[in-house]
Amino acid sequence: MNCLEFQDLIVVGIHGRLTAAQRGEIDRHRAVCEECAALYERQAPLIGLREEDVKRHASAALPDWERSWAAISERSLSRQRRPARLFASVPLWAPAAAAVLLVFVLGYIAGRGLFVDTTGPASRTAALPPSGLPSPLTFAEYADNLKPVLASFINRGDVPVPEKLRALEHRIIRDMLTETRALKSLAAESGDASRRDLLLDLEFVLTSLANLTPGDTESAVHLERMIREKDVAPRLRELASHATI
Amino acid sequence: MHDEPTIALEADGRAVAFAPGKGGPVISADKDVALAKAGDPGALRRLYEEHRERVFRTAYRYSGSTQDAEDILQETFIKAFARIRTFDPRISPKFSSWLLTICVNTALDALRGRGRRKSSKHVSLADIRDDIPADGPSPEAAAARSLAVERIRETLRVLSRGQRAVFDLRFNELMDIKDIAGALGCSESNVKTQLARALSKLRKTLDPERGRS
Repeated sequence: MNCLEFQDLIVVGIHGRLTAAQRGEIDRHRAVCEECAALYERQAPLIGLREEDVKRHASAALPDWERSWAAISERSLSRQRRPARLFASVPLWAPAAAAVLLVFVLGYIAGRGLFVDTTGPASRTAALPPSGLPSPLTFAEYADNLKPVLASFINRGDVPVPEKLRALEHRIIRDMLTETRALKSLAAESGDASRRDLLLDLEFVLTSLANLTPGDTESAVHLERMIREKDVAPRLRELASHATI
Repeated sequence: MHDEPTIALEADGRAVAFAPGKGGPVISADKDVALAKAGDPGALRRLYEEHRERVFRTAYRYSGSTQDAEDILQETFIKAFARIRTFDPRISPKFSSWLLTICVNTALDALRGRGRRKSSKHVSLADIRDDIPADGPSPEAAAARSLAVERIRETLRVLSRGQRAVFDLRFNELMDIKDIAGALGCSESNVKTQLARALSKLRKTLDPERGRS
């Protein structure tokens, strides 16, 4: 053990719990290192103080377990005491998933006609209304279409999704990916770096979703973490509050 | 009609619970966890009885108050039972690790709610240890020790939320790196990095004037 590792064990002794083996390592090292022995002497009053406090107070003043259970069960079990459902064989998540999907599909179909063609500047101009006013497409509409896709992924359970539903989800994700790439090009052309960066992240998320295979839990967990760490949802909300493209 | 979940044990010791209308079998390494996932209220109660003391001790370690620890305990079990169907033994093999991770996150949320994250620069343990009286039964000595414990706890605010969670799961709950990674849903290398950063920051609070870090 070196002096740095010794200091780490002192930290663990103050803020955590030392195992018997770790205590032995501390004793062995301070017997051969004067500087660390001096450090130990200074920190000794703090080592184990917090753990001793937890043991003393948390054991002496245990809560009323029954009262706690009453509070927990009231809120936990009430969810399970639902009246018998008419279609008992339909999984619990199915109506919610169907509703989310329906809203998404309707919104997507309604918004689809409003997206401009981004194959080139000429075609974008041709897509504008005769008045020459900007396209009515807004980031809000794009964000509204995308939110159910992300929500459906984040709130996924461990119940397998039927093949037909998964195929439909997959098609929607691929369509959203096309839209995202188009918007990313527009954002890059207009020099809007923050929008372009968000759309780049969304392109990555949607590409990963499109390639995600059922049962690949590890990739799903990593993707979910990436969505949270990159603050995709708050940035999408912010994007939605912006004006037209 | 028979609405109670039924349970079977597989050859490898895993439990499989079948509940009518719940979308198929639920497999778990723990019989009560499998039954709880299938909606058995008795299994929820047994899980509460099995894990309540450890959860309470962990909650107390953060809050330093019995009342706050009880609130964290309740919130932890309510969250755990609400999400129990998402508990996957392939990702987080131990139910207790999964539960304690929920407890640690709940306690950190409660701490943040109390607005205790103040300026974290120039924190040192040197001032604290000088104020600790010699061990003795007097109420004054006990009060001084409690104050010192509170100040030690506040020293941990040099850590980010993630570093604090990883540090506590490793060195207070004594979970191994793999379990922590599974419970937090991140890679083992990420856990090791967070731990190294946490230790580095806390090392600096030992004796800042000596510059040993």
